[in-house]
Amino acid sequence: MDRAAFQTFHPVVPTILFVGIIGLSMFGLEPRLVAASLVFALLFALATQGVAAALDKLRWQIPLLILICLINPLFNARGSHLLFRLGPFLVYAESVAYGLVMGALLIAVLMWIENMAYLIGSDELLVMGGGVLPTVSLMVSMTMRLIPQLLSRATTVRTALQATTSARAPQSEKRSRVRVMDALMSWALEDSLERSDAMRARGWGAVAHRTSFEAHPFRMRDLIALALVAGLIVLAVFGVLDIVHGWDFYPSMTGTAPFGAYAPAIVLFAIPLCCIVAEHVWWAVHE
Amino acid sequence: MSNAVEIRDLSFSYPDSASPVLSRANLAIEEGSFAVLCGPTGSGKTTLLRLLKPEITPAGSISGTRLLFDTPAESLDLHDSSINIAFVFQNPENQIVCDTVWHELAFGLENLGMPVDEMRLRVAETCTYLGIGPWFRMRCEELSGGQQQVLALASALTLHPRLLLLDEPTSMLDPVAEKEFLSLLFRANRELGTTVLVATHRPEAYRAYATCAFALEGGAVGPVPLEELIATQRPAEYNGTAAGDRVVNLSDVWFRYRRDGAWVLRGFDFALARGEMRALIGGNASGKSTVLSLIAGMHDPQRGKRMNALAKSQAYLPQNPKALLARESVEEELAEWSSSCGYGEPEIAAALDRIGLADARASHPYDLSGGQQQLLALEKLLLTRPDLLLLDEPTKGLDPARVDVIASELKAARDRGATIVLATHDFAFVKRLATSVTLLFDGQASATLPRDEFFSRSWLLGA
Repeated sequence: MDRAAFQTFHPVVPTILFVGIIGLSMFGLEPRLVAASLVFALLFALATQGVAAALDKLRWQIPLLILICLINPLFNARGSHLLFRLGPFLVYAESVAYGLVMGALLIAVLMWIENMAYLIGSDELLVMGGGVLPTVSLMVSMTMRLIPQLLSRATTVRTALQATTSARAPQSEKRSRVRVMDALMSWALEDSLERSDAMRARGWGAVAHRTSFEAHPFRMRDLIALALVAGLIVLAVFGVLDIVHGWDFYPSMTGTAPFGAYAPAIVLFAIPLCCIVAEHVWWAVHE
Repeated sequence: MSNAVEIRDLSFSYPDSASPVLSRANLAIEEGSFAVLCGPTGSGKTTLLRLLKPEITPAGSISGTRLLFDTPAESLDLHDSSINIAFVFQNPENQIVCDTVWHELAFGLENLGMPVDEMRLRVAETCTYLGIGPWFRMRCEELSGGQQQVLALASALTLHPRLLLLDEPTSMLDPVAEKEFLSLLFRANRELGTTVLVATHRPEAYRAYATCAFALEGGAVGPVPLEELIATQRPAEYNGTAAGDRVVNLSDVWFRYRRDGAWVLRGFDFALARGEMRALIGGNASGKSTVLSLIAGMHDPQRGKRMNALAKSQAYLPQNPKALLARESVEEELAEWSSSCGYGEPEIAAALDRIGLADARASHPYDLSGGQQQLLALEKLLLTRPDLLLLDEPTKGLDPARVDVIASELKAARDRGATIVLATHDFAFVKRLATSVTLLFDGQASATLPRDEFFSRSWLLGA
């Protein structure tokens, strides 16, 4: 588990960072930007989750990429460099490139979302929501507890019935599902009565405004990090707008944006990986 | 010393009930006591406790005086009541509200709108005091039942209550977890000065800690000398071993729930003869339930052989009887398998008589107490006349009278020729009814012996 590099920050910092990265990756439809985003997303996944897990995800993403690459030139016969003719279809280099970039963008965004989900669990989300909406955060917390409980009970009910062969009950799939649902509903309702008593016994509704226990206080360091990340995101947004506006796939691929426009976005894409690397270096030095 | 609880001439009856639960009951508990309230299931212990906690007092007609720290219960508002009086319920699973331990501990404090720094102090102190700091970041689901109950106690203690009411707090726990819970409760009582009132049908477990005891019977409360808090011993009802043919055999069975999980069973051997009543004993998570599920065919061994000659006529009682109950009434519940198994109205009526539910035949199964549900689920299985009965903790949380019913039902089933395997922590029940005992440890059968030999050789249980 390599979440540690981020755990020392208040969860709002990595959340804003990843939301920024995902947003920029989504709208930055330009080969160099997409390449940078994809490379850093992949490296981050490799660094945190290991080769096996990262490759496992690519297993279904690569076919997606190939599919988009193939489909775009067939339906979008634009460009200036004719590659070859396939029956009635003219295949241009530009439209192949467009498909490739589009597919890569999609994969990069998916990978960033997965990376974010890996770092930020329900607990971290709750820490962020708790201060503003204590009741909503409590509801989320209760749901997080009750859904797994319901699922495991469904298994218990089903197996208990299947194990009782002496009943010689006709085992129709549909009827047994209805029966499991029935049992689960009454079970859950019954429990909820007891749970609501337990909640009232601990002062539920005693004051109009509940407070929220902060397991992770927001400190100065978090504020500084957040300001840096937010500033970088703003810069990157301007840069990406510049790049995307100045870039054309058709008729031939040309761009007008200077290299400086790329810098903020690329720095942003690199931050998660840098945090992990910095962590490894720290341990290498201190062990 | 003033009284933490004082009840004078308290009567209570539920709206639709003819007989009152309490009639002119009197009770006084000094501040700082550890009081035990005993009485059989259904005697009204829970009702009495709830009458002392205004926000969960049941609806019904109340007369008489209830004083809590010299304040009438009626004039306690929600805020005062939640600060001063804490309540711990029987079922650990149902009283836990949040998904993480830290959130659960803070829940009551959040409800009271307490400032964050005060919450942090209280939560930290409570965790340190009870030694549950290592759980702080865990999910409540990851805790065992005993740990969940300690968490419920901890969540109550963060409120710094002056009075702690507990309703059968250890009846769902195994003996080891029960002792741990009680020692923590005892410390809270002696060291923090919290007054404790605990309702239980198993008062013997509290004998070492209690300072006073009361019995609730026939709607009246009377004092009980502490020396009388002892379990009633039942004589062994079976002797000798069964010598039938082998009906179940597990040989060199290895099993784990997930590919990357730990082995639950590692080279487990088990042979069962027809007509035997085998008790599976062992600590928590020693694999008792797993053995039952493997015999029943709910899981397959990853390695090793399983033979079950009675697989076509087996019945399985899960730990929670609710998993078997899905009908609208007690009667329908028992009738569910009547057509496929060929029994009818007379058998159902006789069964209802045996488990003492003849008056409740039209009730919804969920309106029954936990003990009654347990009997109903067992009876429902027995009506199908299974040849192999697999029972997971059949006596958990039951009072002695209900245990007697279970015992006689199982005896009848065995006389009819059924073979029985029960996983249990209840050694008194094993001593009374089992013919042989298997002790599980580290995924193996450390010993399989005839009952009498097992108890005579056992160092811990021999006495």
